[in-house]
Amino acid sequence: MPQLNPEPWLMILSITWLVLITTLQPKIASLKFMNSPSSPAQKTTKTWPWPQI
Amino acid sequence: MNLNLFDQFLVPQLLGMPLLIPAMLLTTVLIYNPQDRWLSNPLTTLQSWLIAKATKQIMTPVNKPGHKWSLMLISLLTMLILNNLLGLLPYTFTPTTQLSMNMALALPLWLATVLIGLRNKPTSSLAHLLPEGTPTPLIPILILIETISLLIRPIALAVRLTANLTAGHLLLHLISTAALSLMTTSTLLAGLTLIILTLLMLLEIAVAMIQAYVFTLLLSLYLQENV
Repeated sequence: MPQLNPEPWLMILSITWLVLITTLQPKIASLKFMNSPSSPAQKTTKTWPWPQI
Repeated sequence: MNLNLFDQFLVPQLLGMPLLIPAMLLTTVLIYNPQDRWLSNPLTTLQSWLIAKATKQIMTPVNKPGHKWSLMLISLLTMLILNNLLGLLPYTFTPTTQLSMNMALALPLWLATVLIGLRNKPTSSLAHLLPEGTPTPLIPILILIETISLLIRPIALAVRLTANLTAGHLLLHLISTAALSLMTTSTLLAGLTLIILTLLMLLEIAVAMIQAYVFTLLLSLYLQENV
């Protein structure tokens, strides 16, 4: 079975965690913590559905 | 025949570069970023709603200190569901069929729950090794059995996911090969095999989502015991 071949294990291991921590977690975090940014200056008040010019 | 069937699980390479990297990164492209408007488009809203629903479903039984894990568990769930479902398309590579990936996910997360339990409430987490109401003569054996079951958890988690997906993909390969070779000899049998293939495909879609959910749910259960 090719899955039991230990050669690519280290690469698969590291790529899995890299993708999970650096790509997916920030994406999901941006969806969960939408209006709690680090500084109060960055907080955006949601405007009426159409953007006010 | 055997070699052809298992070849689909080899990590694909192109001129020496492992294609696993784009295989895993491109699944993250499918997730929409939040939009800077009051109401986003329907797909973004649907995605946000699904993530919120999944978060509530998985994190409700966990107590307050365990909610720190919600980002980790939901990212894990999203990654597993996307990888599993995209692997069902023809000619795609499923990273979750690799035992190394599932062990890489299961072992550190399980170990983290055990270490958190031993650090924060050691008596309570050790008490899980003995179920309530055990008759006294059975206590030594039961502690042994419970310890073994505790230590086997990461292996079970990883192998469950790997085996389910590998077996599903192998079955799909086998039955589609059979259907193709039966087309020339007996069309009726080929038709029946195609019906079986369709049903199996539906089952595989369900299994892909269920296995990802079960992985995350079991991790949240281990967390509940220890946090």
